[in-house]
Amino acid sequence: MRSLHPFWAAAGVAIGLTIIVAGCVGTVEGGPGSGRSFGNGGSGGSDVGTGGSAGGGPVAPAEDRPGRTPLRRLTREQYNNTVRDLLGIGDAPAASFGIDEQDGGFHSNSKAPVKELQIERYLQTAEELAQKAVANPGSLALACAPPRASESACLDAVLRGFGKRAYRRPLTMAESDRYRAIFAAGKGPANDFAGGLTLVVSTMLQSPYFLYRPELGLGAQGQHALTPYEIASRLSYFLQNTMPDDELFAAADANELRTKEQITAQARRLLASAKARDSIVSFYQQWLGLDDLVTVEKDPKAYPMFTPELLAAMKDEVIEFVDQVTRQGDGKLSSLLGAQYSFLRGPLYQLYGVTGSGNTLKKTDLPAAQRAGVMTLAAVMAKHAHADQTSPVGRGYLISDKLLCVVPPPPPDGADNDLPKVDPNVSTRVRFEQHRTKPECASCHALMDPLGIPFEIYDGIGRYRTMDGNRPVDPSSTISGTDRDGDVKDALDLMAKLSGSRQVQACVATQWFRYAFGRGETDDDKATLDAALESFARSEQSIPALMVAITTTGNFRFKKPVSP
Amino acid sequence: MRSSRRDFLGALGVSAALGPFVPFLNRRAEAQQGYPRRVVLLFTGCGSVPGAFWPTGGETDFTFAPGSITEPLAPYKSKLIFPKNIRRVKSGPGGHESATVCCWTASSRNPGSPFGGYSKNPSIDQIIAKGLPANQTTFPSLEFGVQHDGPGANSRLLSVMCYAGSDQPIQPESNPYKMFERLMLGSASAPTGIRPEDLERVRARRQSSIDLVRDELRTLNMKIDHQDRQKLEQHVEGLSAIEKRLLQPVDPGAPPSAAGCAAPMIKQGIDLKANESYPELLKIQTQLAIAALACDRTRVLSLAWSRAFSMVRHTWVGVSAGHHTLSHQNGGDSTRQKHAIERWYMGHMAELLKAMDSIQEGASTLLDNTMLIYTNELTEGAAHNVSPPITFIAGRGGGKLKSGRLLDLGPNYDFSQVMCTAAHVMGVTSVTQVGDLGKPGDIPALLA
Repeated sequence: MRSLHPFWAAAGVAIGLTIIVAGCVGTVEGGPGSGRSFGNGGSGGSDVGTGGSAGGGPVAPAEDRPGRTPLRRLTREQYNNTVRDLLGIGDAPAASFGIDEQDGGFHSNSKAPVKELQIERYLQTAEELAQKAVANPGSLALACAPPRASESACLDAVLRGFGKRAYRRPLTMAESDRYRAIFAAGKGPANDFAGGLTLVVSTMLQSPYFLYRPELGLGAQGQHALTPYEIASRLSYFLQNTMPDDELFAAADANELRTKEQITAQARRLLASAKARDSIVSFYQQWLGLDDLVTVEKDPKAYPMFTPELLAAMKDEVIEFVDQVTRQGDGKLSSLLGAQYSFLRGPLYQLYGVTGSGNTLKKTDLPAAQRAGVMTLAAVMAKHAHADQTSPVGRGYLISDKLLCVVPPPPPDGADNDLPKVDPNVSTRVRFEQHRTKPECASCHALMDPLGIPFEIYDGIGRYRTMDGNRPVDPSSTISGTDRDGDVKDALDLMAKLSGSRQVQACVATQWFRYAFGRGETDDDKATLDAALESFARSEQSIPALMVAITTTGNFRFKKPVSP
Repeated sequence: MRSSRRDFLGALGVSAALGPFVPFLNRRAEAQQGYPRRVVLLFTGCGSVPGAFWPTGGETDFTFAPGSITEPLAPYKSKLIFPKNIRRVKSGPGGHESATVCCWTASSRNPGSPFGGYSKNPSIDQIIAKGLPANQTTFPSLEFGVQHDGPGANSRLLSVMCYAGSDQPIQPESNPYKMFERLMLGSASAPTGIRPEDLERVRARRQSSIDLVRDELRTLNMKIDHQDRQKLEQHVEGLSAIEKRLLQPVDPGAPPSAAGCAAPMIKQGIDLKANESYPELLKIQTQLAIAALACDRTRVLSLAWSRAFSMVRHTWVGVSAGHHTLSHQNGGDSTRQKHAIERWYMGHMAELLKAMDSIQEGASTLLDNTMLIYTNELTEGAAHNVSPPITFIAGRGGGKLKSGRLLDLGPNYDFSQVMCTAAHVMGVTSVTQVGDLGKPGDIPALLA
């Protein structure tokens, strides 16, 4: 049995693989061997990588030893964004690719090998993209067809420029030679220059260096430091969900991604760029279960105002909110979980009960004492509710899983999952009473329902309410199994409590870790998680500071030595 | 009806480079001895209405109650077996995931977050495909889906039902245009009116790409962590399989004459994501699947009419709620709506059986030479239970099956043994048990 880490002991939480509350076994996410091991323990001061020997990379101190990050293949979003930035083709060709895997709750193609079907998809897509790119080379570094440059000079330029951007590192001499042969084969007996170029591009788009993100490191000399190009890719895919931009390539060329200061500067620059929105929105949508928001259905009898237009506005709102709070506002967790403003348009004014009009999103103060940040926005409340009523269980599950990092187990076989019928004379709270009275339900629902009941002040589409049918809403609750146990009045009170919770801060940092590395945490990741949490605390829970801090950890800059 | 080459090109938006590969379907070689046996896995999701699914009566004199879910299958009674009250396993977390991953594998699962991981063992179709002699058909197996990447939770785990091995899910093809390409273009059969030198040029280009990519994969594979190697090794394997299909020598064969071996006409420009397209896509994928079997493109085929946790809104039978949402509701109108959906699927099943039974293969039919197993990942949606499985077997397995029966086998028999029976029907007798959670042996009562 693992010993209790001081932080968790202080939080009164049992640690290990499971969390046990009143007899129910909830799983701490991350898979076996992945005990949460956050704390204030002390790797924070380690100063890594001020250079090292000539030609070598920084050297990982023992406490910065990273966990293993598996070989990742581009997700569909990453493929689309990369093709957009590499070829200037923005028509999302990966929409027809196989569904992305999930690891740690976020898209990450890190486990299953690609099969014939997907490989053929890559082939066909590469051929189509190459034809388009060569036919319209305006935006590419391909625009050097003879006679504007000699054929061989042009090809050299393509291999040096385009080749580097496609492989996300310079091509080796041998690789360039191979591509010269490909070019010749592509030209064919007709000596077709465009045909040669097309074959070069389509082959590059099928290369494992394009489709995957190989991280080979500098080898023994650098003690498994990643190469500057690998760091550049890690930075860009984490912070912008796409390939490195020109400045990152230039920094990698100049070997200026060695020190924490250099990486910090680049990370801040990338986060400030508009392209960071792609990555930030992707994180929040996956974290809050909103990536399939468009499929939310409501019973028109229960919620006549719920239209496709309203749903679209909700989606725009939450996307704008998370991006604004994270990048334009103070970036604080307390704002994310406590803001009393949002970004409204069209039918949202009516939903939130404020005056306003117009169909472009406008920053709007919400009625006092009705809202507290992202968890109370219409999109989140509508997604985590049933078609004709709210869902204290679903909302409680969301808070437990995503803010406390405790995953309640599924209901046992044969459990009565029938929803209680809506009855205007019986409140939702009372209808779900049997979760508390039946012992076989009570132990696990104690993990969820008390965290969901406070959200009863919002109906199934996220409108604020004081009445549930003909009964007054009672959103009071008592939470347990957290480091902020006790009575809460309602969702606003709950969010205020949780945004000051060390357990929540650790969980949010863990979620960003999972997103950054595309996997759940392992025991080897302790130093990185500790350092990230430390920075998060020092910055008074600034999310951008947390993101930047993750990029300077040992995990981000080094790789676990290859096992033979 | 057979579509012309021009139609294909238009429908597929095929690039010029692909053009030369457009042929007609190959006919199975005349010289071949006898007709092959095939196995088909057919799946729909979200549970059924068990009380209205099963026919009633004796082993051979059973009947289908008017209005019942399986009533549309009545004309094919003599070619069906209903194995009733058997047991089925599930494994790991997740109400639907625990059922779906195990459905065709009877296997325990690898870890994964938050709803568990992939199967640790191959699914029955892949076991059979591996057990059959290599190179008999263009594809060792084919996996068809219908909007398998539609919305819903945990898409990846719930949209895959076939596994090549541990952590090796095989995603189905849901795009009929791409499937058409695969079936029609993805082989070196007779080109129609294409100059051989053009064909040769396209082949040479692809060969150059494949050679380079394969070399890179192999070099990279030597440098990466051994835990990642399976990924690149499988990539190489897939590339080689494509190469074999695309680059084998040109067969100057004749156009097909067998009645069933024809490409269906595919309507162009279908919105592949729209809910309203679902019935049409289901029909086309089914037609393509039948064509693939009739033309002997493969002998092992899976067809997932829906994914598990399907969110399809079956508005064409008057149901506006998503299938999964509805499946959690019981009683009154919900049950009626679920019944209507299940019966709608069985209407398509009847059409499929009819089409297969109308393809003559000597004295028998394609259906006679097939063993089709139908199931659903759940028995009843709201309960998330998997036993007794909703299932039946269609076709006579090339005479190996004793059909036309309702068999109350009871819980001593396991669905994995139905799958084991399929292996034996297909002549893959080395299989003694499917999945580590399965039960050994086939079910003798199913066999002739």
